[in-house]
Amino acid sequence: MQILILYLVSLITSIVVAALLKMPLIQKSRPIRFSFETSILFPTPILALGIEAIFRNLFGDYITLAFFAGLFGALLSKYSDKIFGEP
Amino acid sequence: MDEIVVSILKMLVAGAICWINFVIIDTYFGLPEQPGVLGAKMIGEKVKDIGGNLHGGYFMGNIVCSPDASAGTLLASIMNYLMGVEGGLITALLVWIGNRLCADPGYAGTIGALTITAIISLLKPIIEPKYFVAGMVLAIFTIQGLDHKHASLLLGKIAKKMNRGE
Repeated sequence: MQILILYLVSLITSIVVAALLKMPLIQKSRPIRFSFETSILFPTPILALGIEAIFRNLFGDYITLAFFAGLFGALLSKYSDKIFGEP
Repeated sequence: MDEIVVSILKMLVAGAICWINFVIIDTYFGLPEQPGVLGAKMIGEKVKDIGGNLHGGYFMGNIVCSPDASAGTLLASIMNYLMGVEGGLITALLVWIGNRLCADPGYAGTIGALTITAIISLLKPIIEPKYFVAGMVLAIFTIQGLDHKHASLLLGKIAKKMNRGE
């Protein structure tokens, strides 16, 4: 039960931070399957959950870490073009 | 003796599930439509030269050149075997990073990893994750190892049916 709450915290944090960073809800360019844009729905929540899974297994169950996992997920998603280079 | 037969059967069923999972997802996200990088284009043309299908060849080339749903399925099976559902989530993150490093948007890989995680956690009481690891190795072998010509013809047919590639 507690684990579920941790994942929910990171999920909601990532979505809220992504919305604050003014990311689009869904990719604007069509077709979506070839679009390199990142949006609130993909890949932000997936990155946040993955980072939270790593944090939880490395450091333990802390709600602060879940919050930071969501934050990092949103930042990684927003600045992915700068980190990995523009295609 | 019976035990061996049962485990071989479980492995084959798991392999069939993995095969359907990664072929459907990779085709849906447009792997047969265009080569993502130059290497995939070369492989597609080589497969066409030996009498295969160009779009099936692009599919095979894209699989080789970046971690798509095939790699996502294999890695998620391994991580589910090691860590359970959380392993699947870590896989999705790492596959997405790998995808972006390989100039690929990363839809097929992450969604393939997540779907096989869901399937494995549903089927866990019947087929354990270790059978999915072995099954996925077999599934990739049927595409990339056994017979390139016929594999590409089959993939081309599936692509045509799903409106991805002519």
